[in-house]
Amino acid sequence: MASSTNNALYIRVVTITAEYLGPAAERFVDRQIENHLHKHPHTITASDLRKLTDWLKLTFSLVTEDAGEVKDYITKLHKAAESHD
Amino acid sequence: MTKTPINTLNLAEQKVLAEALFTSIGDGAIATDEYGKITRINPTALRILGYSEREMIGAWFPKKIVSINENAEPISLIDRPITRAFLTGKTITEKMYYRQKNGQPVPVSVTVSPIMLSGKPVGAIEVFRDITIEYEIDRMKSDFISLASHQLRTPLSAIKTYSHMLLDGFMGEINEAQKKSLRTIVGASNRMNELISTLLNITRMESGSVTVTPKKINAQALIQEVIKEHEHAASDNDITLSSSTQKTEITIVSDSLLLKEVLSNLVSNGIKYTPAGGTVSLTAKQRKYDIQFIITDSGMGIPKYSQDQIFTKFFRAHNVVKKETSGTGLGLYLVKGLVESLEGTITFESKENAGTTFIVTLPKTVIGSSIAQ
Repeated sequence: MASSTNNALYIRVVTITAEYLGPAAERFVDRQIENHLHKHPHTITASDLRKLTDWLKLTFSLVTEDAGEVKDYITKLHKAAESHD
Repeated sequence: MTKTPINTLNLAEQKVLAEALFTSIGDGAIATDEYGKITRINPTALRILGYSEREMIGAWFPKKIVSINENAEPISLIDRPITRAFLTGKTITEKMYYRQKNGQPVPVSVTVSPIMLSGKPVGAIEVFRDITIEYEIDRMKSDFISLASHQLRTPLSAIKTYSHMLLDGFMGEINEAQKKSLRTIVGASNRMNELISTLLNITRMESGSVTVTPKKINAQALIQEVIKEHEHAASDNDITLSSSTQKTEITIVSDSLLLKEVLSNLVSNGIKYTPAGGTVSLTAKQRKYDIQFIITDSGMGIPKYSQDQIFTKFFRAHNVVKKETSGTGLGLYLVKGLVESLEGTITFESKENAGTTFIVTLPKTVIGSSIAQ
């Protein structure tokens, strides 16, 4: 669970994702960190997040039709990565 | 006539060639961009789905390409192959139904891969084909097996009952030679009964009519039941059959009959293909998110070159055929299907002449679905 980690970036990513996906956010984020970065979700870094945003964008684009919402989501993720550099 | 090598074509020519290749694919093909919008669709895809190109280009993929299951229920966006291809970064192949423009379902086999450009994902390519004919043949085959199996069971019950009665002396005294013959009849009819059960289970599995009824199961108790059922076979073959589990009770919410069938099949295989003096063990392990059942034998193992085929229907490895010629090659195919019905996975490690370990990983709680048709 997001609350069981001290990794502020991970918590931020899940929080942002939850704005769009609700309770499915954590699983959505975890699966992609595990599959694309091959690491434990709670160990994500700003550099990892930058690598992951392309995948998050594509996957999120298949859950929502609104391209504006997708762009908005990705912008928030980029900002989160910047603030955790 | 001399052919022009592709690498000597200019950019425009290469584009035309790529377009021609895409259009000429015999299967349906659809490409999407990074926002899930359809950028290309070939004539076969348009024919299968019943749309025009104008209706599809620029449309959001999940909106136009509606995936449904065998009960005509839409498959959730997150579970669709295209989404899973992005979630995993891998190529996903799956059978499902697409809803045509006129609302009719069409069975399709779909393969989706992310499109990678300079190491970055930029969209997806999906190739699919209409498998209506394969579905129809499969259905007819399943109907035949089901009918034949039921018809075989009735006379078999009579053979079993009367041979047991003869063996137990209900029809008068019999000599040793007669007893030996009757035991052979009982053994053969038991094997035939098992084969019929396997065929019926496979028919159910393939027709999607396996019903998962979740209930609380004590894993240790279930393991003991399985061990007990195979004790005789193990001792007859001079094999040590054992079990070990954690001390704390392991509880799993799953379908006990299906799970028992899976474990029984794997233990029975272990006994069958382990030489005298060998061992077979069955253990359960509780992990953070799931439960593992581990079946290990010291048997003949699976040759490396056969390992990617062992869950294939009717497949039998060469070393196994040499030892026992009467197997069907259906056991592991059935096991894999049942494990998947229980939302689990099965993996194995094997070394020829050293043994095999099968690991069945199941969720602590199966969601359970009654998909009887």
